[in-house]
Amino acid sequence: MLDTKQLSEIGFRWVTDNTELLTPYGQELARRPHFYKAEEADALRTEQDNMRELMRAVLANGDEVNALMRLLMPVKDIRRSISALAERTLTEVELFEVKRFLLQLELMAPQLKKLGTKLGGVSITAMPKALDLIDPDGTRSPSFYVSDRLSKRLSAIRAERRKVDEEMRRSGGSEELSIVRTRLAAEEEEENARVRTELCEKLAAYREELLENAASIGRLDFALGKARLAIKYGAVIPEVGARTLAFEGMTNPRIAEALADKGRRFVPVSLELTRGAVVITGANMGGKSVAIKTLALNAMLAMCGFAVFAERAELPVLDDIFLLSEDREDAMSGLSSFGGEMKAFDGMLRATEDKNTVLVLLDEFARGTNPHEGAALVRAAARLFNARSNAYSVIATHFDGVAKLARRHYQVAGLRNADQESLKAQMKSGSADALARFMDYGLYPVSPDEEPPRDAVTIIRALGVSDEFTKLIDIL
Amino acid sequence: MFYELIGGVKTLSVIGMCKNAGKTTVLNSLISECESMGEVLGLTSIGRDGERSDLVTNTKKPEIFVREGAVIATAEGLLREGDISREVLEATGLPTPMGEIVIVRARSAGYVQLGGASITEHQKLLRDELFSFGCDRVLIDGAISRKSLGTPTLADGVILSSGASYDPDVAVNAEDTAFIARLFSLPVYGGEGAGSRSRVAAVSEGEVHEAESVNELLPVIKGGAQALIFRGAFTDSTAKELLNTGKLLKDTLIVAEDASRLLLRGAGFEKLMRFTKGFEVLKGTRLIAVTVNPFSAYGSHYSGAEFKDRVADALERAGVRAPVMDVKNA
Repeated sequence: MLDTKQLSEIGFRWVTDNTELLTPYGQELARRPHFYKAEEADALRTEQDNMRELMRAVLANGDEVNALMRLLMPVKDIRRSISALAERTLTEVELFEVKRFLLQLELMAPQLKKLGTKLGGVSITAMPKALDLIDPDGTRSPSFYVSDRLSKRLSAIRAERRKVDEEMRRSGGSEELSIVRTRLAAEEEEENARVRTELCEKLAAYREELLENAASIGRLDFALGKARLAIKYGAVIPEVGARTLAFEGMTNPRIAEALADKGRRFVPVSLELTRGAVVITGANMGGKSVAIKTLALNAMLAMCGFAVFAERAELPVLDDIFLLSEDREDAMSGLSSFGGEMKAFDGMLRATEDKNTVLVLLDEFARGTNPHEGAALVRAAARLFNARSNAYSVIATHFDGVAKLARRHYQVAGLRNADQESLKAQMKSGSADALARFMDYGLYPVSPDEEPPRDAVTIIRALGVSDEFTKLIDIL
Repeated sequence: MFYELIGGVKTLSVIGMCKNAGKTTVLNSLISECESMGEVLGLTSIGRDGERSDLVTNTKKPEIFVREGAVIATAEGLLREGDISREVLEATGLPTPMGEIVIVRARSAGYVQLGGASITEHQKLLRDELFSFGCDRVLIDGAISRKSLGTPTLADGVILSSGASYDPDVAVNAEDTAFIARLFSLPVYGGEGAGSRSRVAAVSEGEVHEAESVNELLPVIKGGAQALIFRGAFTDSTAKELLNTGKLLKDTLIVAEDASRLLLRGAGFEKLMRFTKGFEVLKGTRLIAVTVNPFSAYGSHYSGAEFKDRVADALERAGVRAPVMDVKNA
């Protein structure tokens, strides 16, 4: 499973942060997205259906959706008060919040119907009987006052109190009247508390229904937020449960945004995996890591019930997703980076052993050791995943001799197709941005015999690294 | 006693120079007068640091008394300290050490304990909420702290209350009170550069030069500036920085945002007044009155008439026109 740092690094956090949520219930769902397990495939499908329905509603029925959103915005988290209903007497402010919630339900339930959507697991229902308890006068005003109607004694105390206040105002007050006033105020407070206790006991019968409404609001809010984000970015609902794992025209909005700031464009990535090892080779700076992160992001989004940033996507139900890269949370734990990577790899192997279907992504595996042994380690990993029938794996590497073991081989074109003459001319400027203009970030399927391109020296030159160094490179 | 003085003042703040300055007496008097005229009042206070410990050590009953209909913004934890019948109108979500600030309507007469927001933005929000619940006028229980003079950005009128508890020496008290009163009475600057957003801006020959420090503006100041406009706190060290420029500022107006940003002592202020063309503020407030309480909580009472006369005299010398009233008449 991906750790917090990786979730942020691949852009998953970006997606949840950019999902606009209107209620604390929806925000909570987005804070801890749920990875649907194989046995929850039906629930995932329901969530996807809900998003489809809501995407349709947003596009066809925008005004009604906006009206619903306006009703969602002021919703507060009152679950603690609801849960407390059976245990203690709520304060007037808590009862105010409960009443407001009940009033919100009265408006929300019919508004949701207007969208004409069929949403699984989302049932927002008005609760007029509970509202009658808390608002026996039927004013339906958004304030809360313990009604006279709830207690004859309360009503009598208040009437007497009013008389005394009137008397005090007329006469300018006296010691005696003050004492009576204080006594009446205390009696009212006591009776008020008793009435509230009684009210809470009656409301306790509606606890489950209140909590279910709160949960439904959360699910609606979350699905609507995801649907709106999908429309905004042209994301699609993936087909989960397919026989193949294929993403066409994938993007990574977090990286795309960073590139756009520099006036550059994200080049969409397409990948089709088979069980066993798929290898990506390519130049330094050519976007291998970006491809791995983008796949990790979209696979994770798919399994957490989000739309994916791709033109088309299908994948089997994955039990787990692993990513081994420099961005691990344990990267600073005291082991050398090589030692840490190997321990993490070992942990991943053991954890995936008896899973049904897993996706394993290795970014520049074994980069921390010498190229001779490093290449051997990566080849071993490729053999291992070829032998395991439960794993889809992608290995990004620039070591030699790995691709020939791959079930499928993708390559980042890099500088291969760049016009060498104009590249040389540009090299004088020596900036990474100039280099980026010549770099082909596209990912192409190639034959397993194709060796990784040798662009390191070209890239060093294009970056304008000092001649004092480059003229000493002895393979020129 | 106050009603004819507060016409046109929608938001009125009562600010005490110290504890036991008689602020509560003034507030109650205002409440009673306004309510007798049929006004719906909104009430809140400026939250203070350490308010909670005050309440623990000082177990006195709340003393602010309202009639049915008043709207009160206070911390939820303070509702039980009062004894009105309450209708909860809003839970604002604004936090205080005593719980979130809620807005309630008094459904009976009774005592209330006020505990409001300590952040200016929140205070403005509460004031606006109170008006949105139909209040004709909002009264704010204010306080002077070491950090700030409180409410000028919030209120359009101020009553300043001083009492013998401030200092055993009646002369010191009168001077300090007059100084604060003077800050509240500074004229409003109407020249150019009022919209500047930098720490300091110099206006010279119709041009506005903005900068982050006085030093950066020295070339402009040397050429003769009509005004120097300061954003944010104006402290003794700001004053010192200005005085270091020597006689360059004798034709320059010094402008601060509002009186609450003036955190300098009387001496520094006086010096600046002599070395410059004068002091003005971007947002003014109206000083309605100064009230005096000759009784000290610490035992060293003043003679009533003497205190009042001394304050009146100090105000006159400071050029502040505002009535001085003894709280026992309030």
